[in-house]
Amino acid sequence: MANVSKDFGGVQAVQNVSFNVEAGQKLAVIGPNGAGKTTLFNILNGQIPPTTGRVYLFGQDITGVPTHRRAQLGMARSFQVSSTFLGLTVLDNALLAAQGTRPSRFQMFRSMSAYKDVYADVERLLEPWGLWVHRNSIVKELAYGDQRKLEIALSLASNPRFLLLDEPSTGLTATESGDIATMIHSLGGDITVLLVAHDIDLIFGVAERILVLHYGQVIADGLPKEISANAEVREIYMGLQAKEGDAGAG
Amino acid sequence: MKVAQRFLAGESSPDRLVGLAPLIVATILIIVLPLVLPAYLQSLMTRMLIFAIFAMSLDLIFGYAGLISLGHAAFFGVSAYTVGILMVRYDVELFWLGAPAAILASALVAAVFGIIALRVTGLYFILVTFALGQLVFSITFSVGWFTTAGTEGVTGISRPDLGFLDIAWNNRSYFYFVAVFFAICGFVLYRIVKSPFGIALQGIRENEPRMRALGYNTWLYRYIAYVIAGTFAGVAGVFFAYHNGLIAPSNVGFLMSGLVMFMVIIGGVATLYGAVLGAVGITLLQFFAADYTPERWPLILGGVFIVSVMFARQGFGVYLYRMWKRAIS
Repeated sequence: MANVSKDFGGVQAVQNVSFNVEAGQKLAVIGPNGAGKTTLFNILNGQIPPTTGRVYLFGQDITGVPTHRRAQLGMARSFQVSSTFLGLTVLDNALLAAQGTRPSRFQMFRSMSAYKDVYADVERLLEPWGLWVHRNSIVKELAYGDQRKLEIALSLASNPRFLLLDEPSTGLTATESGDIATMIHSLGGDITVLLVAHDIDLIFGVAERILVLHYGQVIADGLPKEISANAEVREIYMGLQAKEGDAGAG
Repeated sequence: MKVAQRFLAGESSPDRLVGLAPLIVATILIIVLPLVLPAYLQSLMTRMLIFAIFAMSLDLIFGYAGLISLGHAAFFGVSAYTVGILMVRYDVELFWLGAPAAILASALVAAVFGIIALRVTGLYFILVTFALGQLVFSITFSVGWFTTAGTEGVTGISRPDLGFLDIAWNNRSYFYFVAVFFAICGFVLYRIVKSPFGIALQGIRENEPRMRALGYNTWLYRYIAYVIAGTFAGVAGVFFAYHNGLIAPSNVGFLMSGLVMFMVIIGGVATLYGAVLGAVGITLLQFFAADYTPERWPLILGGVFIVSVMFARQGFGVYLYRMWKRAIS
């Protein structure tokens, strides 16, 4: 993305942010609350248009392209607050996700159950997360951790080439968070990942490169070990965390 | 062949048979009842099936796609008026000409209204559909072309000429005629709601942003569903016009839209059989209540609605279905 800014009224949530993710790279975007991570994320995915600047995907200008078209181009995202289809079964959730980028999504006169290949893909998708056994459960009756896993699984269902993960480990136990790291590692080298997270273990476990946002600006960009050694980042980010820790203790 | 394969694969065929039992019973009732009931009840059954088609069409957008449309009677009215005007003013008595023209008219109006109404969502969608419905209502009310013989509607609609089919019309034969189209509509709508398209509609109802992120053009899905629903409401309107013999603004206005929505809610939202049962129940209720107290039957309807919402929240159709499932398991 190049020179992207976003104003909300008088607030500049993102100021002149430019960066480039190489194909296959696993990039993490970090920063304190209010740094503009989610805004950046929504601009990338097309939920909101940037005030100025352009967004490119695989070299193609997608600034004005609606979200659903971006998905057809190979972009997928997960949501920070689980955004599944609560009233439908796990299976229907996964089928919807798997069908989203297939031409048969407009098919009106054939039963969903006639698409054996989609079912096979869905089984492959749900099995590693232990969700296949729950396939006939309604999502809102699932345990929170399972809903979270389904959230991540849905974003993988379309075999995306560019995957946006928004706080994937929120509310998960350390073990489950580790599963997410394993999942990201297991993604092929041709899949680009942009990860927004607070979970330091997850970030340093999977990121090949880290971008630090603060008040809507990029203040650091580099390898994980460079970032952890960066004095400014330590002050802003870790300092803030120390304060939060104090508040928690008090 | 397919059934045999499923049977061999042990895919719970006896269960399937038990599951199909309500459908088989309904089919038998539809075939047998008109043979034993008096003519006025055959006519009542025809009305039930017409409203069942109408309610199923609303359920597609209201139940499955989650769009609350308060102007659905507009499409019902457009086709009913088209049938009536074609017959009374242009002597088009042929079913195979009048009915397709009327259904096409409904589809076209739905295609235009859909573009207007789907620009907004939520509460605003309800208001816009309401306004569009009242627009159709007021046109039928105030434009002289839509009234005949000094009445406020179109009168003198007779049962259609079927061309090559030589059927002597009476209440019974007309019932069977409507029943055939009811079965076709029910089958087509059932296929639609079970298709990837139908499941996508439910996904959009549950969580539209996610559907967009997954690659679905959610606007287009809603629009297509809206036009399909309008078209099937048009089918119901055609049979209503031939059945009723006259069509008046009151058949097109808000009260009609509200009535069919009642049917869907009371029967069970997002289940086609619920819409059918709701249509049957409310039509029956309307008939006997109107007989008993012509002016106050809406009061009875309101009471039933409250009781239904309090004790069978998901609709009495769904309630019956669950009781049936418990009974067989």
